Amino acid sequence: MLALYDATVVFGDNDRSVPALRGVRFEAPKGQWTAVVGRNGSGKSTLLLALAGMVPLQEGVLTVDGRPAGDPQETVAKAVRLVTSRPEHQIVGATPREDIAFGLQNMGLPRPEIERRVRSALQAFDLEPVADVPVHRLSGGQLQRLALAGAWAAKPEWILLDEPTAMLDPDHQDQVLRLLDGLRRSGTGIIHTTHFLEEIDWADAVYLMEAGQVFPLGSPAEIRIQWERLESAGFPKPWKWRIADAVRLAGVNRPVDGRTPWSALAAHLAGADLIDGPPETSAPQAPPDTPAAGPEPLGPSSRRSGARDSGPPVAAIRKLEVGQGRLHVGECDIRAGLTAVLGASGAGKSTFLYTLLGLMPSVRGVYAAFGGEPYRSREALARLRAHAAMALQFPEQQFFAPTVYDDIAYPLLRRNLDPREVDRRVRETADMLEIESLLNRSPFSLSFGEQRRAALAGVLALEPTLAALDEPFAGLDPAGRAHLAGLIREWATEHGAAVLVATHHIDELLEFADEWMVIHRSRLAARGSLADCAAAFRPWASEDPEGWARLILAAAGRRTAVPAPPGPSPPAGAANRKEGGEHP
Amino acid sequence: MNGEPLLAQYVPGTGLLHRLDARSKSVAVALLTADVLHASWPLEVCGLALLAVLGIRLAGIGARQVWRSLRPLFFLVAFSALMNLLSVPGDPAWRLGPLTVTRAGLLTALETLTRIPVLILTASILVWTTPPGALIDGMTAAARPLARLGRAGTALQDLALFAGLALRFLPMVHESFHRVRIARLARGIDLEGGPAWVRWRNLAELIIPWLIDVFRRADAVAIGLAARGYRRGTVRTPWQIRRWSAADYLLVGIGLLVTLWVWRRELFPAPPL
Ligand SMILES: Nc1ncnc2c1ncn2[C@@H]1O[C@H](COP(=O)(O)OP(=O)(O)OP(=O)(O)O)[C@@H](O)[C@H]1O
Ligand SMILES: [Mg+2]
Repeated sequence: MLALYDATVVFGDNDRSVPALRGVRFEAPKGQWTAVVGRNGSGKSTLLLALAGMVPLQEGVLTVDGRPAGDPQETVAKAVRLVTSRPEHQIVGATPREDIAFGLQNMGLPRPEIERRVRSALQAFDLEPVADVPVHRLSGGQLQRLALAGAWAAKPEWILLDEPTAMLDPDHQDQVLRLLDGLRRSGTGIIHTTHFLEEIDWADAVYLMEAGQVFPLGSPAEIRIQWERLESAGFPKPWKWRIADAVRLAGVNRPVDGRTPWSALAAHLAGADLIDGPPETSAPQAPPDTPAAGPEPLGPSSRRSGARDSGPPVAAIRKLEVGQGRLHVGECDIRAGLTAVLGASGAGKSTFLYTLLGLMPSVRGVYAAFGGEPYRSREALARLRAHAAMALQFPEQQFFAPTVYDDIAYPLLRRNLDPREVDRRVRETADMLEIESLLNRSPFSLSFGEQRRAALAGVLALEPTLAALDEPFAGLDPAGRAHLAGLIREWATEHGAAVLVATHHIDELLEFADEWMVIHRSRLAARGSLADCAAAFRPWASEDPEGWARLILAAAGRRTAVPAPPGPSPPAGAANRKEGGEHP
Repeated sequence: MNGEPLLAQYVPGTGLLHRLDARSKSVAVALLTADVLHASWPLEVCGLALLAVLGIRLAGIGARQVWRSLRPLFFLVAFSALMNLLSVPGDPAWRLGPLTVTRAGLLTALETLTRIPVLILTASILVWTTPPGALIDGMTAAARPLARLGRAGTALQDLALFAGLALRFLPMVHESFHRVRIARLARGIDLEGGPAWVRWRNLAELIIPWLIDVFRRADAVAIGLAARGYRRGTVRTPWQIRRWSAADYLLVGIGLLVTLWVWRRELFPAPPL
């Protein structure tokens, strides 16, 4: 048993020292999986640091198998390994082989033993093909596996993982969780924090953190029965659970829950004739059109129609090749409204957004925006820069100004806008993103969710006609994600702008997107409504069955009978603000 | 992102130099860099240049990679050569308006243009052919007898580790700068246009967010290191060390011979007549 009793941790900030942990009692048995959920800033990471003996406790004790961890914390160092939330910061080797060895060298193991463990770790985590590749060339999924391999090789009795799936697409998410399951079976204790609630189905016991306190919720089955507890803590029911419910209600007599692969869920519903079957059994071109039935709709309660009346496009692409094959886009018009850009990690979502922003060095083919071709003429590029803006992934990492206000205003002032206009834009945008009360605070003092909104405000205050947001939901808790999605939707409608949002997870934008794009292996594979995408993605279904399953499930949910409520009407000014954008 | 690192990064390979032990390479390179600094110009420096070129060939590093690595430093070298060219006093060779170029200045400039690149190339061969971990382990192994003695020894090990880690995280620092730049461009801030002073100001304004980002990451790395079970003063097992082959001894032998030759006047002063 790895346990904390009456543990209190206060971070030494004398003016606003709120305890990050308050009288915490937490017990993690060996060979079991303990999941911890909680909103941003509730103290999950701090809890893991405390369990790893890496922050001093103001009060309370940390015990390993009933014995208090001593001061040099030898016992903890031997028994526990922590995998922090950003693997690139704890991978210290230049190659996977070197990195796995690093932790073992610290333990002072003899060389042959290190050799042996490195080899088996590379094998166990499927890293042999990249064993000697420099780590800066690895994908997010590979880095995450490497971080795990490094912890596993030390043969700890507990592995603590801080949001191990936050940076992963759903397929790699599954892969990592399956690996953890294997570790549990071999007797390792797993303690795992997450913002994806469906993951708790893997756990034996679940804890909820709220403002530094820990509340035991029991097993996943018990949680389902007393769902209100989590609901009152601000957690919407995960999409995967709702689909699993639909499968159960369809009378499929198989155990399904958050662990069931998407493709299996889709197959069950197809078996019950609620959605189209897997691609092998149906004609490749037929768009799915059997509406899903079932007492609870699979998709969100409100939804917009997939098709969109076509105004003039803001930007247009014809036969574009980016870099040396880094991305191919056949034909694509970018229109006003919210467009979700889906795809596995490494598929090329970010490259697509960078391309639209004129940020890629070498591009062949036609990209026309704002009455010119930005990759052909400097003038057109300057016009694109004036009308388009993008938030990189983790935009809050770019804060530098002393106050939120200054940070948002900075690019506006650099454009020599009238100070009153700058002030108007900063305040209006802050108001829309619900950070108006924080404008005079230091951006570094905000909570994680507030930081994200402030950073996005720094992009949206430019009032771009074309806005690209790369993974704006990464690292946010479920309630924060839903909230932010709504705010972005509202902003897009209000400004009549084209907003592209790249994301790993379909469900975040189910209620909000007007159009969908799927990027698959460096290619724009599908676009249009979810149903269009599902149909167009069919030829690739065998390459990415999980991705296809999610698409078809989402499409089925959206096409259930309830008509979409009329969206908020576009404001009068929207049409005037749209500039250029003729076809090439 | 297009973040291929520029300077001082390991290039995976299986050539002869890649297979040698980090310690023999370190010793040889340390000797040879001292030689480059001391060698007389032009013959000895050119001889060492030949040796460096030979080493690069043996390491199987392409000319493109060499150029990419040197490019960031090239302007620095060219600049200092130019300063030499224009500032060394002596017999004027040419006059161009207010500028005078002397023969001595010309020679010093040429010397700068050869000696410094040879120095950089020689040192680069080591980092190109040796992963940072192997360098760390080599130094750890060399310092191990000292580590048994106590504080000073383990401090040396820690130093070796941090030097190696600096190499490992160089790409991250580079990528961080790249991200800051892209983030600015993505917020519609033009970094390229305008007169020179505007461009310099734009560049200067990138430095603060960049430093903030680098320090933030350094903090995270410190936590990461602790999470990997590293504490200051840990006695670590050196892992990537190899038993010396004939080639290792040969390499160190060559280094010693070249050193003897370059320092011959100091080591064996001619007997006064
Ligand atoms: N090094 C630190 N110094 C000061 N305060 C800190 C530090 N680390 C965390 N905190 C504060 O402690 C509280 C808990 O933070 P923690 O990172 O543990 O939350 P979390 O649940 O992991 O959040 P998230 O879901 O965003 O990862 C927060 O109020 C945070 O601001
Ligand atoms: Mg956290």
